[in-house]
Amino acid sequence: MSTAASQAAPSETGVPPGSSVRPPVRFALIGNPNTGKTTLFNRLCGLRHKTGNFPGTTQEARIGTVRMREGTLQLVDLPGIYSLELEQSEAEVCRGVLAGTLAPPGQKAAAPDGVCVVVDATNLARNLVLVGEALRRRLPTVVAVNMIDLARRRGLVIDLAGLESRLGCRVVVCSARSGEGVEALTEAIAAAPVPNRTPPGTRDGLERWADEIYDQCTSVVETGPNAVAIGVDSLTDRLDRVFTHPVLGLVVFAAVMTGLFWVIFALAQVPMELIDRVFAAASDWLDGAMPEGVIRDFISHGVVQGVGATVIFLPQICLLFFLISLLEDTGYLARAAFVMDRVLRPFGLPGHSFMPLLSSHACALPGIMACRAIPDRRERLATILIAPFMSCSARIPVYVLLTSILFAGRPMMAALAFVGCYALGIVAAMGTALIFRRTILRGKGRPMALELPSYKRPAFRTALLGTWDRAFVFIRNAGTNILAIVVVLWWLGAYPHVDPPPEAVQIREQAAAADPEVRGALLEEAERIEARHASANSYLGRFGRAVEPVLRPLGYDRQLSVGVLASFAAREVFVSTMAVVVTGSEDTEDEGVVQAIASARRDDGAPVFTTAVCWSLLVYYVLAMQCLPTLAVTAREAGGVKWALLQLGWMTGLAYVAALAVYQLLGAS
Amino acid sequence: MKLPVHDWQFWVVTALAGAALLFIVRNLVPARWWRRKPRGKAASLTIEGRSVEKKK
Repeated sequence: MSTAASQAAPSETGVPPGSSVRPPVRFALIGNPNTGKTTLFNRLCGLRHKTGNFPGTTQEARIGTVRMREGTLQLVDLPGIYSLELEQSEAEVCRGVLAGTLAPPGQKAAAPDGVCVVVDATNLARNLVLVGEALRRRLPTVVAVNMIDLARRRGLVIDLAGLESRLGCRVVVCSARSGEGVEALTEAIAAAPVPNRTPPGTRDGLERWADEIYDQCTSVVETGPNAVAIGVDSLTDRLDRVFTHPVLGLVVFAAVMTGLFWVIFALAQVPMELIDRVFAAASDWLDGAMPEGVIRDFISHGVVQGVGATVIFLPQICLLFFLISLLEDTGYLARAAFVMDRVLRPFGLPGHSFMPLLSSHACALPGIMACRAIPDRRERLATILIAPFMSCSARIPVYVLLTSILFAGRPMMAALAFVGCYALGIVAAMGTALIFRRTILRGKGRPMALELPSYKRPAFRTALLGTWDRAFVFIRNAGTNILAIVVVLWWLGAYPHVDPPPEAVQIREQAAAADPEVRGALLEEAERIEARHASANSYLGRFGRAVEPVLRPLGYDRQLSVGVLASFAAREVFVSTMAVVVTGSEDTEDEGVVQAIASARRDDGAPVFTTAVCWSLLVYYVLAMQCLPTLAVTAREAGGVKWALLQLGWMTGLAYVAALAVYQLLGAS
Repeated sequence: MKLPVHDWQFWVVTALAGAALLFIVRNLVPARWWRRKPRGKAASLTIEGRSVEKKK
């Protein structure tokens, strides 16, 4: 009996009753990349999922629960793979989970109760190879033929009963996007038997077996005036002629990326300002509501401002991931990676590096984590090492401050300098990749094998869920680290207490005897001098003085040395640190404070921010590794502290030499 | 130059800063350096719950 693909209800299986699993406890979800596996997972589990790393690996998988009549089913969404036998971290994770040697954190490692293989109905022949590999594991198996709506539009007919009979397991057609057949899939999983057929064990045999089954169980019919034969998607082909063209493809890519960044910066501005105001209001409220004391300062200026400094960049990060997810869903990003492969290859990087490097423009943390998708170890390491060169959101406050000092009243020049900072980061990254790939990471890169999926309408639900995941990971990983660093820096900047300097005592005496109109200004001046004196003599200030000789050749005095050192925790800390160190005020929102930073004086009365110092600082901040959380993530993802130390040494060394050259060149002229 | 050791609030913020420092160090240092390794426990061999000597 031939069953048209449009019939979503599962037919009677021709499989003799096997050992059913009732109720199933844990099912692994595997499939080729771009088969809609994650969309199906989201459809089955909704928001009831969590993300976890499998112990001993760096591969992320998602775990979700499905409530069924028979009980609760736990689904483990594994990374997309073309074969279980490949030497890739993704395939290794899948093999480990199916063999029962890997389990989600906190769970006992045991073989899953079954496996659900998700296949793309429009690309069945290639997907059946993975099905064959899964069937050989002798676990209760269900095959979910996804994207059936797309296949139906192309006139594909699948003999479902024949397919079930030949595979020896339940087969369910579904569309994760529309939800069609998903309930039937859940029921099939609940009653999945062990397959009663064993596919060939050799690669060639398996491919022949897959081709035979495909030929026997599928056919293409004209279903209407717009029907197209399977594999001949004229729209995809027409678009690909432009999007993957060596020249036009790059032009389209540049236009898409420009639009993407414009949208991110334009749309994120409002929520960023809103978050900034909320945290400023919270800080003010705490100052008024809590009794005066160290704990109030700690919470108001340490904790609240520390959290605020991180959360303020969340809108940009969410927008970036949401838009990237939408682009990915349309199928364009695969083309972008293909186009970028030609550009990146001369630098020893594959097209796979494009996505992590793009993500790093929001924050290096998710960018480095995205490097897991790069199959070759050397190429993955090279990408991890250069990812922090991309100008992240945390650098933006520093760029804004310095370009506005350099080009006050000339916004066009300031914008050009801003773009120049991004360009310098990319150039440094490519140069570094070239050097590393020809020295410590020498080796032939793998040719990029990438399946170009058909163009599709993006699924907003999947994009939103993916964005939620990323936002949560960012808050958890970066927020906790940055908060801890800010708390430590606050303590180092607050202690030890020192007696007020004679200058401040004298001004206070003058204020006591002065008219009420002048008194306020005098007291403010005394407070500013005291704050500066306290900052200079704090542990952080003393450390700044100790390090000043190292940074003096770059043009930085004691105050700038403290700013540069404090921003080692997180770059954005530079602006608020400079406000504290230079002006004795923390209100960086006030334009007067930025003006005060710009007109700050050294101990000898010379201006701090000369043109040469500003350019030197800009170059330093573009190139230097000034982010402890990034180092921690590099150590974890690259598999050792040595890689984090190499990244720190290389980037900071390069930044030092470049900033020194800029200062000496501009300072001497 | 002094630390306000008589102020109880100083000790609260110092404890919190210490905890934050520990958190940072823990994240930077590889897990195998600070995670206690599981140690095997000595156990005498038995057959059907009885020691080998008694069985003999």
